[in-house]
Amino acid sequence: MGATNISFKDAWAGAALLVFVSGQVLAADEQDVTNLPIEQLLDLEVSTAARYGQKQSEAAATVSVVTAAEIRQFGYHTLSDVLRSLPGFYISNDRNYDSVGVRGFSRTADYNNRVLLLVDGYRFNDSVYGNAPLGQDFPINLDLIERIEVISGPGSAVYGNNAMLGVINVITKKGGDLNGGRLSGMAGNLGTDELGASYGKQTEEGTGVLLSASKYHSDGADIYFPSYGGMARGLDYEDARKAFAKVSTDRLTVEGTFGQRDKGVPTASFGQVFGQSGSFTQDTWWNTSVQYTAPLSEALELTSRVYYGGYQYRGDYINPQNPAPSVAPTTLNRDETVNRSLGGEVRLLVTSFSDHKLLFGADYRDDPALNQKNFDVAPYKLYLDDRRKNDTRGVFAQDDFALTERLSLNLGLRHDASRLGGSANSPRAGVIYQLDPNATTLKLLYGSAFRAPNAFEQFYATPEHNVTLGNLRPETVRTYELVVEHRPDQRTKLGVSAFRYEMDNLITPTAKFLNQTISAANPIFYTNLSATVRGVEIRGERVQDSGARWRASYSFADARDRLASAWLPNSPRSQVKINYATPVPGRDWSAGLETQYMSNRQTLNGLDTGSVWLVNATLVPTHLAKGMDASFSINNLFNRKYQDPATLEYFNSMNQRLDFIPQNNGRMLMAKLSYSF
Amino acid sequence: MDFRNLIRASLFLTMLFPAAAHSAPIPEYQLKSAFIYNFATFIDWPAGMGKSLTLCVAVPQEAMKYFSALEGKRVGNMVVTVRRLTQDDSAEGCRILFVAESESGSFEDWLSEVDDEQVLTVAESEAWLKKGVVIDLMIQDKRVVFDVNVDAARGEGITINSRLLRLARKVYGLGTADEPAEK
Repeated sequence: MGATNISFKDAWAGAALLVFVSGQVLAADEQDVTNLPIEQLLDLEVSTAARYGQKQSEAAATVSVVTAAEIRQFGYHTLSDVLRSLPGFYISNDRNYDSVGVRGFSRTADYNNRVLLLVDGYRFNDSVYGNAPLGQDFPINLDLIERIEVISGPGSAVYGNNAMLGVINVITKKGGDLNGGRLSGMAGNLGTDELGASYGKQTEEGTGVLLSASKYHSDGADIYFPSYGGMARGLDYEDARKAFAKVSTDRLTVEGTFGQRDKGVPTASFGQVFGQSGSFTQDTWWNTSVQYTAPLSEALELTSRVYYGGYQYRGDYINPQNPAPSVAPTTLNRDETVNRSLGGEVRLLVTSFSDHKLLFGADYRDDPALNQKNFDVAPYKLYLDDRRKNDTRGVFAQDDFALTERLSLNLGLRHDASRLGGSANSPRAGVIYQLDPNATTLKLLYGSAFRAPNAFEQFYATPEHNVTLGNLRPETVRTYELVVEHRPDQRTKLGVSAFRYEMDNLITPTAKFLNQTISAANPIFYTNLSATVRGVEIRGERVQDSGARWRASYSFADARDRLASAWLPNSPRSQVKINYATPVPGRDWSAGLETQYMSNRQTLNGLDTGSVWLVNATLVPTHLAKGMDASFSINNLFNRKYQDPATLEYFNSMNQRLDFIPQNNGRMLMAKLSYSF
Repeated sequence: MDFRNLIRASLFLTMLFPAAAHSAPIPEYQLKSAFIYNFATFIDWPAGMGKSLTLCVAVPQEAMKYFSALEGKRVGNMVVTVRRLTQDDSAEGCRILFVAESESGSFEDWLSEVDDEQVLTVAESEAWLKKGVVIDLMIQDKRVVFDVNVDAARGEGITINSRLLRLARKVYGLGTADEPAEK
């Protein structure tokens, strides 16, 4: 038994003992008063807490919430669709994965490992790549999502690793939200279709059950790549299969998720032979989790979670025959990655001290398998077979402290340590001042976050690299933000933020190391970048008498390589988002219109992508017949063609580079019908 | 090691169930949740509302657990569904809307969103009752009491059982415009 095992045991035993003791001392009042007649209720004595709750305007972060209603009104199909409508967020796509950028910072093909994705509170990013799936690779159908809470800015002081640029918390529906069965079918152009079946039920005792499965297919676009001088036909396909199950009571939730996505790779990335079929990636996610929330007393609430899950990646690459073409013109090369994780966490919320709201937490994650393999399929030749284990521990404390009626402080600190990734401390502090308690709030926020080097960055090295990999340290960000929030009336909310991010030790791929040129097909990772991002964000929301809602934002960000003082690649300086959703007069229908502007970005080689304006429109007719609802969307209404910057790995077997990934899907029509019973 | 950890984790989970004890005063929002569930049973809900009765609550996070406990309970032949509202949420589809005073920043938005619907609105201060909220839940002498605005109920198109009116501390709008009527 190793040292890490002992410390794990000690930590859990200690936490368990603490919780057990406090549970006994402050045992909950278990009496169910909801079944008492009202006459009796009137006679019961009530206890009131000294100070309860926190309004969103007092929160020490900028939080955006997207509800199930908005997901429906705007016809969103993926988390990427949701994120790109939010202030400062943008999505780049390399015809394989979606990459999220926040406030002018995005390293395309970082597999979103600089945001933390939570599903019902548990960590979803895998441990080999830190991958947060945001497209069809995310295994939960958006129809099953109750709300999505997105924090802009660092979240490591509570959540630890990966929460550099933001935290996305997906909260799924419960059985009672469906209350019956539902069948749905969707069809769109580019040969896109989706079929889904769901069932949800809630018993009288409050136990809910939710089951769902869906299947998605798209033929994808035919894409012309100018630098390859050719067209990739039928190679952009995508297939996804998803299943979800959840059983919940008011305190206990057990859920299971499965998703698998195959995506054709049309770009001949990593030096493949262009125009060949057979190159694709397969991402498989499965997860089980148990969450238990116990009100230990009126002022003490404990949430604990355990999860066990896996992520598997397979990538098939069509490489040129090596050595020079003999019998077959190509060789099938394969990546196989396996990650299994077991994790648990406890959160204790203490509201027993007047003017303080304390949150304590501890978590542990064991990765018994972090395996990466690369080989030629036939004739079999092994290039890499790396097997690792890791474990990660974190503890944190946070206090929301009301100094006066108007002035409050938010203080937090978290410590993380992992066997492979090193350790980090993440402090945060916020001062929140109610200039006018009903209308204007001023916030001054300091935050910090980190990302530990992952197994892919540290250990994916085939013999052709011919180098010893650098000793990677965790990358860090420190942020300073001034926020003014103002509510001129009850229907309108305005906010302005000015921010500065200082990012250090950023782990980035490089094809050159110590004056040695390394195959760009397998770049190595090196901490060779420090960046500074400065910017301003303006947000507004308004609800009209008719029930129509506006949400609009403008964000400006200047992201620079601090040493070279050069503008970072894939960093739009300006973004505009406008979302408008309205009920259709006289009917129980809704209509949603959104527009997104992104200014030009730079590629790795300093070329210009140009800017892009996109407009999407959705009409949601409900109750067409008994149980029959529909949704019609036109994405990219004005049929804009645009491009995203390509990364280092985008070149073919002829060593021809891609600077741009064409986004030429054009206008997309989607019709969806669902039948509830 | 994997398996052992799993056992430890499950052991840990089972330890979290504290021994039940009993203490006299009931937490404020636990009691208020019971009141709200009771109110629901005193409304003559119109027919054809479907199988679920959506209860929307804007309360501090810590109090949410008491309302979540109402999930799945029956009112007539409807099943209660609980939805938490925070500042930016929409109140569309709510049948009962309870907004705690500390969370009332968006109350007017929510009221206007459910304007055309038959909704039982519940607040925690008299000011809201005068703005057309149907029931006001308050604390008086360590007991929870409630006032009813029957004009507002009429405006919402909901019928409140007279037994509930008899138990109210004050009933506004019976005959007089502003003054509480005699019970």
